[in-house]
Amino acid sequence: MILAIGSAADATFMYGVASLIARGHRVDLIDLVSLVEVGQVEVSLAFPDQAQFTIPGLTMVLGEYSGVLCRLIDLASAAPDSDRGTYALGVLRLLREVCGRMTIPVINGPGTDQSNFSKILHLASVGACSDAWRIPDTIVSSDADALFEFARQYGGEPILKGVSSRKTWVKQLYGEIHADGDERFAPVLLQEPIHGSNVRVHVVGTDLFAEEIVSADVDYRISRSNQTRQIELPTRIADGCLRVAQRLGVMLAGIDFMIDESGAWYFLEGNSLPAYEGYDRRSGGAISNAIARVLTSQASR
Amino acid sequence: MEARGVRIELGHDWDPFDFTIRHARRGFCSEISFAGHDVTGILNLGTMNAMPEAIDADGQFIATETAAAAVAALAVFDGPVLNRPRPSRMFGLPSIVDIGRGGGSAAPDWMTFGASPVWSPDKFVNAYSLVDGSLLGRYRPGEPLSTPRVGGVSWTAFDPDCVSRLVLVPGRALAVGEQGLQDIVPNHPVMDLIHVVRSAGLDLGGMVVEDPRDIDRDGQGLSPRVLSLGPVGLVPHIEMLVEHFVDDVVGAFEGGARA
Repeated sequence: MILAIGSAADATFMYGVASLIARGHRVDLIDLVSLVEVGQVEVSLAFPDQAQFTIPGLTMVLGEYSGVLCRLIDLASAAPDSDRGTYALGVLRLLREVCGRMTIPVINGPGTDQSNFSKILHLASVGACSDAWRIPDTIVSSDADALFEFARQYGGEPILKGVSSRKTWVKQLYGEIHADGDERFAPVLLQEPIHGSNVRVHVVGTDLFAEEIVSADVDYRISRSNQTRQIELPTRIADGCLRVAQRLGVMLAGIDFMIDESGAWYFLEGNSLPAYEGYDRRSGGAISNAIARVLTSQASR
Repeated sequence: MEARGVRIELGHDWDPFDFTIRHARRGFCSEISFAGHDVTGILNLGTMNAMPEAIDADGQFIATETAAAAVAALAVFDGPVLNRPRPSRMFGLPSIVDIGRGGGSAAPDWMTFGASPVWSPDKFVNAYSLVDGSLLGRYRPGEPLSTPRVGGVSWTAFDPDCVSRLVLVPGRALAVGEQGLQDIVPNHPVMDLIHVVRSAGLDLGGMVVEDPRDIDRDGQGLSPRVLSLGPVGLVPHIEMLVEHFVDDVVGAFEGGARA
């Protein structure tokens, strides 16, 4: 039996729950919003598997499950009032502690690397954990002269991304950076443009699933003209991906690469909370199968 | 530190700072300036955070982007940074949670949300907010534990007679005693715990430690554990004790070594 902890409003979480049920697994579900509103949690940190979750009419003890499907998304910032925001933050912190200490498989616990908050630090921390790939030249700055000089190196057409983990769309600039005075502005991230195809790799435990995406657009996530195919990873890249998941401290990771026209691989990001539904559908459910295998590997419980 | 000729600028928020972080073939580096002046070293007191309080969406976005640049700049800065941010803990100082993850013995004993623990230790118990770490209450041995619904509570049992306050400075660990600060001897059992704390990234800060050897002279099966961790201000009257270690802090910056 599998315990699922997440928000019923989170499409990826509900896709994961539905996939487990479709494979014949029994799933008990804790909706984070319900937990915040009316739930209770008690845990002795010496015995985290005995953590007890209570929602009116239902009490669940972690140790009774073979694994936990977990997506701890930030509910606090979307809370309708400050009290609920405070409750949501408290629940999140408690669950991160519990999930980080469980002895049963959890996809995903809080992880050990929080650097995704800052894309360039993420490159330094996670991207640099293997020499199988390159990291695109990158600058984060609020200095117009420094940004202009960086853009000039790339023909005035660098890639623009958000600096933090806030959802932003990737775009390419075309001569839009100017060194024109002393005005201060928020920092921006510019990156060397890589011309080639995207690859998304999902790591589930020790299994790897890779999809190549050829797109006419800079950000394939918003493109309608993608061509995709499942690919085998070169051994060194595969080893590096396992190392990324290990560095992130999670059992499920979504890792983004680009391959340039010469065949060189560039690391872009390792995501410990990946939205994997589309890739899973195109792989015939291979990612969901692997998740189910991990979460039932201790099914004798 | 200023009395020793070190020019100090106090940053209460990220606004006066400018950051440039680069990755090129030679690796990652950053430049930091404060009000137009180059910064050569940083003492991170852990008071900046990633939760901007800007009131509108644009303001929150800019504040978050700035914080993300700032934390990267501090993390990869080539000069000395005391309490350098790490990928495992982006903002603030290491917490007792980091110590537990690092293999050290650390509080709390219980965590609850919306309920009181089914637990009755024969010790004093402190209740802390899981949201901001503030002390919510203290219970005497055997007193029933109860708390309002405040967004989660962590509970720590302790024996007040076994509690010590320590100060960590670069290269030294000091215990607060009646005679002021005293160096902790290298073979003291608490040094293993201090090593875990340093490894978690606390170069300059305060610790509250429970050392059960004081009640079990044999020390069998018992080891010191961290009850609380934070800036040096965690130690009461620290301003009266600063002269004991300020040269060590200045030395860490003058040496130019990576903290």
